[in-house]
Amino acid sequence: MIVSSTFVVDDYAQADGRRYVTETHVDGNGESITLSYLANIDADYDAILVAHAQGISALQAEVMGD
Amino acid sequence: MTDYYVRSAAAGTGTGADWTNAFTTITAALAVATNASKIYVADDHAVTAGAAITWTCPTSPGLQILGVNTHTSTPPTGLASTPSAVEQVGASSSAFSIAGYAYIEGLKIVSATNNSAAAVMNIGSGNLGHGLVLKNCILQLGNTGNAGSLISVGPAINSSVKDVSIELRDCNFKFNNAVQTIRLQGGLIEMRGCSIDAAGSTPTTLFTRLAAGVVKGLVQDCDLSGVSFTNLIDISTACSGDIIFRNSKVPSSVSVTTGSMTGPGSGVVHFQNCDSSGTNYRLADVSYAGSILSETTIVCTGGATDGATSLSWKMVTKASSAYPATPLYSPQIAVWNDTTGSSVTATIEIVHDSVGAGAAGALQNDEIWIEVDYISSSGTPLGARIDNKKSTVLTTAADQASSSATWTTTGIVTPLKQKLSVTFTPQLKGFILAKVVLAKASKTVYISPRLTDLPGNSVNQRQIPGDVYVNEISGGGMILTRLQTGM
Repeated sequence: MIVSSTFVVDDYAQADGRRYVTETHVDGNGESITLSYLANIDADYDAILVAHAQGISALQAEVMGD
Repeated sequence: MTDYYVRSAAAGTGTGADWTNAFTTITAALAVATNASKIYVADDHAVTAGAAITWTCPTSPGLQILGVNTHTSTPPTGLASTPSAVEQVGASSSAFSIAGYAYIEGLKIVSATNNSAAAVMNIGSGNLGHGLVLKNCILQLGNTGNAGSLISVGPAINSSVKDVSIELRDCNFKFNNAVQTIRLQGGLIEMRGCSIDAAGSTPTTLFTRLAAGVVKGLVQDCDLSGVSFTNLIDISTACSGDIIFRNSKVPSSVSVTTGSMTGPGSGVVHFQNCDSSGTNYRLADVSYAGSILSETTIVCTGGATDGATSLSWKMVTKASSAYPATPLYSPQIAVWNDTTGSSVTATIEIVHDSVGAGAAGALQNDEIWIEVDYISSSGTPLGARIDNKKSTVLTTAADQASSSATWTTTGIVTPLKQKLSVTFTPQLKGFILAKVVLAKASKTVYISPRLTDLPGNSVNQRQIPGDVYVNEISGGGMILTRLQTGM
């Protein structure tokens, strides 16, 4: 399960206004999972971070429970 | 050639001769069908097995399994536009498997509803050859969880497996849990025009790979935006093969890859012209040595463009990138060349934050270089490669040439501009193919993927980096040349 999540947004935008974002999710074992994506202009980085963390946690829960 | 009829509601003799006497399952028809047969599946065919379903198709191509739009016309004259014939495993901890050689169109395939590791859907499974084309099929995972529940494409590769080719055309995938995924396991796999059912669950990672698998995969012209998955593909499994995602719609905020490749043989994930909005230049290459992303702010004036948007490639190496064995290769940059018999020079402009080992941070010729392939023989299309890396591994490195090109250097603290150039003599007209090779670990370099200095390559030519070259004819009109990179 993901216990902490952070993100870093590129200092500058791309020509169309979008920005590259790098997320780091750390699970209960201390393992780090890094994701990168191109965020829309009006992206809610926090909401995306939460959604990504939930998805990874759900995946880990099923794997561990198998 | 004998054709067979399949309809679950048939109550005749079960010979498959017509709708009245149809087989009641596809499995029953496959027991007698040959590679010269057609199996017609009725529009109201519906089977829930309660046990494993295995479609063992012939061992050579030719069989057709067709979901048709009738259960009365003999022979049928129309295919089901929306798959209505369905076979599902049902309540059983068993797999739905398809093996052998067949063309399958217009069917709905549903795996087991039990939450079991065995409740998988296997397309091309087992130690034999597989040549499967599934067109306009619905592939649905029936259970609501379990890490084993997945759609596996291709077999585990071993010495008993023969040739494997699996094409999924215009198929729709429906998931039931975040853990479910499409696992690319082995062989030549191609998905075109496929989509994801928005009414299904959202997988966390859409594609995964099989340990020790060997795959050459292409996912093209697909609308993958039905659900907002987090990761496009997990690359952490030790396996081999390139996967290309091309000309497809993806959800916004999707991460192209999750995990890290285990070695140089893991291949490259190519993400070519895929996006959630109307761009035509987005690119991502991910490999063991690092990644390459399309960049539209840090760009070279007069450099690469799609005609409207200036472009560069951001090459970022991982700690695993090293000279001479594990550098990061850029995608191929292609230009048509008409000059023969005299020397030409091909140049790529670069900029970086003074990350090199040379003077004032210049990159040297064992840290970055250009490789160019061209036709070197006039009598045959025999090619040659020229590069500007240092001549041997024991040679003392030298700085790559400095450049006076103009770059937008937003965010770069100490920008240092250089250029990578080679001079050679093409002997036949043809494509000049170039790559930039970055062999310095944990560094970022921006390259303008346009070959400058070549004769005729400064006017009326727009290069869309990746695999397309657009050449405008001076009198109007346009020639669009597409090079098939990878697949």
